Amino acid sequence: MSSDGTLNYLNVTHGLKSWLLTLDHKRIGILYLIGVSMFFAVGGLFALLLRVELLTPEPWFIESDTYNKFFTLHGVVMTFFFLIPSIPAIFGNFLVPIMIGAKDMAFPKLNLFSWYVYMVGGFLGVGAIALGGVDTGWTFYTPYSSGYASSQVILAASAAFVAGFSSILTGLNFIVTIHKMRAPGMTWFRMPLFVWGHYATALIMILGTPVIAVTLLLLMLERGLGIGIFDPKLGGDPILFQHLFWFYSHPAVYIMLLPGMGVISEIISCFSRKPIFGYNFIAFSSLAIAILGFLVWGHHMFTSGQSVYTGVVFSLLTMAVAVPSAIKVFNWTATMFKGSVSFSAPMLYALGFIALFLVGGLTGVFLATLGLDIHVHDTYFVVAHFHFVMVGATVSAYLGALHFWWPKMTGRMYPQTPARVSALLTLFGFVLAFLPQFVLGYLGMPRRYHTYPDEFQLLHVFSTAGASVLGVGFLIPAIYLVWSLFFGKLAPANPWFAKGLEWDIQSPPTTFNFEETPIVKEEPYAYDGPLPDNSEEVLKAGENYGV
Amino acid sequence: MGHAASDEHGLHVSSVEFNLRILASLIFLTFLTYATASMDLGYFDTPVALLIAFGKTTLVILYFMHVRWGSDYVKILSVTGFVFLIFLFAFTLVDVGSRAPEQPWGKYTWPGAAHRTTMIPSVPVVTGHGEHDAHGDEHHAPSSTHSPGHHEDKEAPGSHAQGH
Amino acid sequence: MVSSSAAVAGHDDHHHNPHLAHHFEDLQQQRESHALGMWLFLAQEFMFFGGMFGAYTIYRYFYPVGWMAGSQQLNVTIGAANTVVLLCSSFTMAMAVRAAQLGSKKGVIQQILLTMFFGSVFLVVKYFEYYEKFEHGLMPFSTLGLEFTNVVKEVPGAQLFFSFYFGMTGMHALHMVIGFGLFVWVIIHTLQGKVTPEKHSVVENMGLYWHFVDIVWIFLFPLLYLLGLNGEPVIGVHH
Repeated sequence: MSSDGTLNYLNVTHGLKSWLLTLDHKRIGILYLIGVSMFFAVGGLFALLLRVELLTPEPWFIESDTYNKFFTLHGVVMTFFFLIPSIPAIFGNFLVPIMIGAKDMAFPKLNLFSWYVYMVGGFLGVGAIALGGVDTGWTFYTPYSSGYASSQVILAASAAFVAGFSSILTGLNFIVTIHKMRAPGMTWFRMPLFVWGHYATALIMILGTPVIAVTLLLLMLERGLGIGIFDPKLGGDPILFQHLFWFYSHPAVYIMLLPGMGVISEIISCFSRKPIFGYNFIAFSSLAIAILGFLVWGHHMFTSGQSVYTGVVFSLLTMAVAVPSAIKVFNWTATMFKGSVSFSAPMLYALGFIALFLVGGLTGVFLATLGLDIHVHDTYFVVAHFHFVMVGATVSAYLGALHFWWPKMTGRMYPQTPARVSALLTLFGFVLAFLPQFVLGYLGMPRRYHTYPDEFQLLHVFSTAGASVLGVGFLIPAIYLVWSLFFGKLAPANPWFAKGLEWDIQSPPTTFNFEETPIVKEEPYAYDGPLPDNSEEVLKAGENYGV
Repeated sequence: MGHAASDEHGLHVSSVEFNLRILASLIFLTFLTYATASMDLGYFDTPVALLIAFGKTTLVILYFMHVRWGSDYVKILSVTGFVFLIFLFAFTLVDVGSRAPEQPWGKYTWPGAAHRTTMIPSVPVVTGHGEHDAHGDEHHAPSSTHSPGHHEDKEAPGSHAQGH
Repeated sequence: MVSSSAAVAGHDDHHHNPHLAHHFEDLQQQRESHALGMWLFLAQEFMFFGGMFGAYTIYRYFYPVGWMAGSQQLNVTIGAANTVVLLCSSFTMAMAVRAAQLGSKKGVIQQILLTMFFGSVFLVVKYFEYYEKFEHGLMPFSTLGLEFTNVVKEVPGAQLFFSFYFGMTGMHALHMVIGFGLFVWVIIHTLQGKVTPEKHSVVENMGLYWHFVDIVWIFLFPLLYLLGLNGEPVIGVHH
């Protein structure tokens, strides 16, 4: 990863120790990138195995018990170790201080500590796999998990519990950094929307995560000590577990989504060469989503035995979340309107995000509808819905962010053509994998089932084919991004001619980001129309980076 | 709050007497809550106990934790937790309070339903609740553990015993 | 967002101040950040205990009689005495913060040791309380061989009450034990001369943590101990 000889955060010190003891928020972001990619590979592998197994109506290469363990591990790893930390812990860590003109996060030691906590949680999760796996589903519903499952429930729950602390500490760091570390002139409404997204996310991390921590702790106590908390045999109420679980786990969906929305705002504005449309609306809709997100968890429990009255209230409130979500989509669309849009790889991912989020969000309104949800509850319709939001949208945003800031993070350019191909491939593969699942679910295929009637096979085969294409779409970037580290062209400070403090400093940045504290004098997203297409620099950029 | 002073960094420094006065108030409130808990306040037993607990908490937060002299953001933060906790309490309580004895999709009801109909038992040993099936009208009874209306045979306040 | 780089007033000074971390501009920013961080941490602690209090509330609604019967097994006098002890520790903690503000190293250590003393008294009393519950068969830890055998188990919900009693007071006690570890660290920090009137966030944040633990107990006391004080004895009261 050497650069052109100038000193930067990557080459300032060398050796494993300099990385494992680093307090630099950028290096910690890279550490997270490595950890998160690892768990993404593990979770993806399990997903692929599940899809292959579902090619036939009857079991063909794994036992039903193994199948249960595979979908649980896929869920636990992807939720707690990929989706939740992905954008905040990698890109948030790397970019939030730079974007607001700070030298580092407010608590650098805490930042490093949270990475170690995350890795310990991850290894507990891997340990649960190695020692026999878990078969409860990532939701750990009681009383099965507390009293009946004979698998590694305590280990897997403690993995999620520990990972939660990492998430809390990261969120705490974000809020303090954003409040206290902004450069002179960086007012709240000059902050990039990426930072607003992370502020809202951090609120959920701090206020939601402890509730699942205590819930999982009670579950572990019940299983480990035999006390009755959720066990109906001892008078406990299993529905209460679901209340406490979803009090966090629904807002957790917005932990996955809000940072991604911040990424999309940056990318769309940059590649449309226009200031973002409706900055204030996008900023406040992030906060609105974060707060409304705490009031809707009961829509996961319409068929659980929760009271009908509560269901009605939750149903209505859930639909209200569609409003701030739609505000964002409209504003992104309006930003592109009459803009000078170019289709670089990050922009393709961003467009994919909007398309897939649209489908995922609108099917969410279907599911919020009390009556319809009774029909499709716990079917593949739900599976397809949340994969559209969590994989379609969040992973698109994740890859978009990776492609947008890769030159800044590594100082290297990646080749545009394979990047564009893989962006289109993931979109195609994703739709092929999950569109048939809406149909499957509507026709009555329940989630988490190992076998199914013969008439569902065609749709399952489509889905598996799509998942395979998706897998290839994820593999290609892994190859050319690693390739670019060694052979990619050196990146200039601002390859996309983007606005924002991170593009004013060299690529890769120096350890303390700024030689001197910047003084911000401009509004955010001060894009002023199309690039002058005759300048030598722009022609070179178009050839090299596809601006 | 005349005993307050600030050091040269603009931080609030409470005097010893002031801190002692807060401690005295907290201990007084502890005895007050003990006293009110010993009285029969009917429905108000728990609300009064909680009110006093909130009073003590307010004293600790404002004066021991210096929020009174803190920044606006710290003031907001110190109540944020309460606000979000209210969300959790409100919805789960609305749920358990409005669960029908028989849901449209089955006979499942909340686990305590069968036992709630018996408030304070008249016999010391409570057994055989099987015959008390959930009655819809009982569900909306407030959660006070000893609503006077239910038990005419209840003894006068204070006649209970903690130690025999 | 093009920005011109220019030196901010005071920027060059902080390399000379040993109390200022490199990434902060001045001591005030650093102090406010530390305080804010601690309050955010307390907000998450609050939600953590809040989840448990929420579950407590639901079950108390389900089992009013069981809750009463369970509560009547607790010793209110000891609970009240322990409350006062913990309040005293909060007072000495506030005094430790005062000492730190005034720059008295000796005062900080004295007051923290006093706080630890009151905290230990609380925990020792708690230990004997737990032991009494053990003797009376009120421990519901069946997988550890501690069966809930007390006659009060005839009352539906009483066993659940004790699950919550041990869960909540246990979690509270665990926070105190963690606090003891932090106290030791703060004392070492103070002995090394790192606590000054300009920079004493460590003591202040320790104080915030300890007061929070106190607040949790302020709620636990009425909700666990006082609850059964006024009802008729449900069953098996044996004090």
